[in-house]
Amino acid sequence: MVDNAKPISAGDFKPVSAADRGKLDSEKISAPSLTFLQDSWRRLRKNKAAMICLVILIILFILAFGSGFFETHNPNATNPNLANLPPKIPGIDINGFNGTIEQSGTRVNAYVQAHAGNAYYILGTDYLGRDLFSRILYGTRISLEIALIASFFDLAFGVVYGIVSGWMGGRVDTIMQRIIEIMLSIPNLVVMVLLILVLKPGMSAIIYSIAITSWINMARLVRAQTLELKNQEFILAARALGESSWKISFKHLLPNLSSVIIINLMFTIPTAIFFEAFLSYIGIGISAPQASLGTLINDGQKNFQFLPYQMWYPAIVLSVLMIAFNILGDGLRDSFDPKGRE
Amino acid sequence: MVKYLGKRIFYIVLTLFIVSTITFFLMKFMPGTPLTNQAKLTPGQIHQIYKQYGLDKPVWQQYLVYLAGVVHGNFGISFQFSNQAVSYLIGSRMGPSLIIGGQGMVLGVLVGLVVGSLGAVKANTWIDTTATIVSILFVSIPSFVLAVLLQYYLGLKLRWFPIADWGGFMYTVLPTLALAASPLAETARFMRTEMVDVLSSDYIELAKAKGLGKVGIIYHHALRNSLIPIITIIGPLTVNIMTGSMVVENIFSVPGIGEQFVKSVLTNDYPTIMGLTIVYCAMLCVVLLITDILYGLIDPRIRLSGNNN
Amino acid sequence: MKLNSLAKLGGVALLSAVVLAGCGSKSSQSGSKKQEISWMTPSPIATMDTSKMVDLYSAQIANGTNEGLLRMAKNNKVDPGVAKSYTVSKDGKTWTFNLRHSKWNNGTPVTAKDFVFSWQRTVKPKTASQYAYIFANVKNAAKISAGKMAPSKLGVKADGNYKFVVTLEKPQSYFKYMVTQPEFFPQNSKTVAKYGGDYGGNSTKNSYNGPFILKGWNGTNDTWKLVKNPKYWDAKSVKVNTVKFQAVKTPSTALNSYNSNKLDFTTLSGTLAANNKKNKDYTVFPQASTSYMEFNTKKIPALRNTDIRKAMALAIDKKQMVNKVMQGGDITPKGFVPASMAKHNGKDFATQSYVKDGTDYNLKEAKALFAKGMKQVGKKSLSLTLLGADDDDSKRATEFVQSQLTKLPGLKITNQNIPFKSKLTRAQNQQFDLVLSAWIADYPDPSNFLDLMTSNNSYNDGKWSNKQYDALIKKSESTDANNETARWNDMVQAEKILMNDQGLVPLYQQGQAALLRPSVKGVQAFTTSPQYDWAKASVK
Repeated sequence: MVDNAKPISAGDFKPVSAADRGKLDSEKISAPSLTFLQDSWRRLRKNKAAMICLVILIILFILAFGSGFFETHNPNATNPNLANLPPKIPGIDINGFNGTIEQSGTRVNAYVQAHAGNAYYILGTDYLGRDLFSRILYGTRISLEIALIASFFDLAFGVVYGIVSGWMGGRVDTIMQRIIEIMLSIPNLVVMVLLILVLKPGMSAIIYSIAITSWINMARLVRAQTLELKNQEFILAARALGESSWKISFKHLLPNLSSVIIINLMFTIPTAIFFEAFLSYIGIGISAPQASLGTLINDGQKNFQFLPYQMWYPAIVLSVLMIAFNILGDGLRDSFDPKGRE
Repeated sequence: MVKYLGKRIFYIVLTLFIVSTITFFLMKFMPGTPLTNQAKLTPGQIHQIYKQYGLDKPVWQQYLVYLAGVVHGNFGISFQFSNQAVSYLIGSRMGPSLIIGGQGMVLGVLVGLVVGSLGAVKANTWIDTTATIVSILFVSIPSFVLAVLLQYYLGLKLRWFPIADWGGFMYTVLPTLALAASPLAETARFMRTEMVDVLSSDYIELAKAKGLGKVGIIYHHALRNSLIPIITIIGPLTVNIMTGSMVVENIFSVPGIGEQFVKSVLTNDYPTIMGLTIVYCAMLCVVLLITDILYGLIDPRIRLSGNNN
Repeated sequence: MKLNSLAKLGGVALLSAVVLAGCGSKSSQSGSKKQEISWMTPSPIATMDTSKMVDLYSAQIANGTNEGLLRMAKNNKVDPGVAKSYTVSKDGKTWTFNLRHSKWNNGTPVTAKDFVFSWQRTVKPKTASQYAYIFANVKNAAKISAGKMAPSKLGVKADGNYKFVVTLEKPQSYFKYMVTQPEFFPQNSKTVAKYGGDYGGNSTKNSYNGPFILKGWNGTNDTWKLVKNPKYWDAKSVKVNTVKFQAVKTPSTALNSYNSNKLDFTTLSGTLAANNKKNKDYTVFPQASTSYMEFNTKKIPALRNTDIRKAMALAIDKKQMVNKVMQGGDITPKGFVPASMAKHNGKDFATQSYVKDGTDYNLKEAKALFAKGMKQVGKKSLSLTLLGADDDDSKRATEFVQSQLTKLPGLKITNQNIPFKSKLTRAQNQQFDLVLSAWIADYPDPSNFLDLMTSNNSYNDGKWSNKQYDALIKKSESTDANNETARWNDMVQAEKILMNDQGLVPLYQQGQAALLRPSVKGVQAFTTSPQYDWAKASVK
């Protein structure tokens, strides 16, 4: 058999043409190589509800942080003569948007009553004649700022605490876990209220008090994940090669913890938004004339019977924010979950 | 078990000690006295009033007196109700809070279980979608908004239930509903996840293979096994209810401790704030202890060795 | 009584923030002649021990359950109470009250000794009453309070069982109003001895001698009732059997409850008041109370400049504040002393002492004056904090005042809203630049307000000081004390000085907007504490 073999000459070979290469690729069965995040993003995109929420959140962020640009009026400018005007959008004649309001059984045009002239407020005005639309944008911004900064602190502290606790193990871990257990048996709202009382109500007090009470969940999750990762080969290898603990946690642990962190963050932010609103609602939050969604709802709630729009709009914005964060969080969790990979 | 209990109770005592200490010193940092009109009082009178409240001693002595008091369930005298002991104030207002809190918890968890398991059993159908929407909505709408809406629509417009006040079961309905929303949503979400996991597990497959009826499988295996982990979220749910009760009681005029807490905060009634803080912590500690014990009793895999690493 | 006022008002304000809500008594609907009324109150009872009472709402209940020597009546009059009659000595210092034979609800007689016991108990340091200073004008009271004299030396005497004699330090024409207040009520010494520190701690640990008996108050709850007292000396004229009380926390809840007939009375403020103005049940109860802004002249040198103070006063549109911002039953002020509180020879004090500039609004003039003042003090800009309480009405008022003042070029205002009690303490310790204060009269006499602004008064938070003013007030209390007309003129002069110098800025005169079921007749309303009396009420 061997003797019959035809000797191979150089002429038998030719470079693969572009067309042939195409054929080769078509035989490949594997999916395109994607990084973890790319892969998750791909799966997230398939989750319609989560994508809608992402878009809503982006829009809300743009509106809130660009509020200076979108505001129709100065959110703090008072005009008591035009107080409590219902929403009015020129050209739309639907009850609720045409500047009329029910007063003792009859519909009256509040704008005419107040001699408002050509002025109009698309979401109406509050008790001092401030534009509700601008105040909601402004309030959303304050609420988001508080939530984001608080979440950032919570993230920084919780992650470090979790990694240290999980990585060090032993006695340090035990003590750190005991501290967490004690923190867990104190209702967090009570702690927040006490802290705010001590720090004097205001934006920074709210941020600190939310941050101080909400890192625990993050710390627990990060610790559990760290414990799991700690004994995996790549970490052992890094250790064997003599890398410092610092370097290991930054280069190896953190990237692998990212999904846990991102998911938890998605649930921390709405919680922070909720607590800010709650504290402002009970009267120890943001102080006037600043506004947050919580203070706006509190103000609106008082007149709900007569001027329902004053509570509805901020409440809707708050609820939409919370819903969007929650659904997006759910979506992210599903898409990060290795079990869900196709 | 005894060892475990001993250890847990030790930690509860430690927690309460730390909480009392921290609140005591935090409150000392704050301005505010029981005096309503300092300017009009003679130094002698001020001294008398301070003495009555035990504020005439150096701080460390006040601290020791306070700790000794806490051990005996004595939290001092309220600034707001001028001759009412804080412990009496809390005691007399505890009932309504426990009633609406307990009802809210039971209702929320039960309905949550039903909604959650329906969602899991009928996964990816319209029932599942509805269940998910309900739980997302209830977890996202703050209790204070929900309470105002319930009061306005069910109380004032439809007149189904009393608007506010206290005095019989009917009065507890609206506050209970407002409080139940959050545990309902949380339980439903948790239950759905748990049950989907259980339903896809090997023993369920086996049960199916054996030819057991669907109802039997769900009832005997899936439901029971998914129920156990629910116990672990009772603790966090208690916290939710405590938080919610502070505004819900206020809106519905329920004479409870949540409303009292907020009022004490707004009027700088420090002895009451301190007392309520400790009571809240104690309540939560007890709930956590009970749920942990229950969990250990129900789930044989968990051993209460006191070594829960 | 002074501080009383602030505390009370704080009470009102504070609570209206968090308060007002629904109710739920089964009954008292219009038409049913059950003689039962359901009343909304913003705050639970703090204590029923009249020696320790500091808030208006407890005082209201005490006025229903107990009775002093005289009883507050409409139009600044006093009715006989436990005392059938009284005489005042020529020098105005000795008051002799002739008591009637009346009984406590436990059947024992009310005697002069009960008054002696009660007054001494309040004044003696051991009781630690925050109100003891109210007795300052009773002989030796100040010394006893300071612990320098035995309580038995107080200028009161029981002459037999039914004659009660009071000796004052100096004449006080309005002493008759003071004895209508709960601090001056009798106390049953046996009941006090029996319950000790718990006296007045719940509805059973007390003795009542008034038109009603308190029932169902456990010391901390939000509902209780006043039930007709059959042992009351004038029980036959008490028509209503029960007044049910409900402490309500949220204003809108209270309104909802009223609308569903669970309440016969509820207070309103802000938008709720504005939206109910056309309701046939809407009523306004005027109050002898002024809300005003004080300048801290001690801390901020620029505020010592009269032009700057005047400019700031003129920049605030009080009319707009009342009509568009507060929206309740408040009215624009005529001065510091409220209108229709005190009259002399048919003339109202506020009208007589009216100074137009003191309460006017004129932004143009304000700007000019401000520029002038700033030049005088050599400053380009001024940055001040405005301190206020953190209840709804106060927040609204601070926000409005801030927005008005910032219209003055170069003036920057930052708001600070803190709990009422803390605000009070900070104001009294001069830890503020500008502060919103309020005062409600305890007795319908201008001195109740004017005293506040004398240089050494502890409630003169801003430490505004004017020698002429001090001299006039002093004269009214000494040389002119027994001469009605001279005293009146001194006070009119003083008020004019205060307004011309703008020692403070009156913002509005308070009025309580409320809904009251038309079927409920005869509830007496007063402009001063205790505000309401149900003894003559009835349901038709």
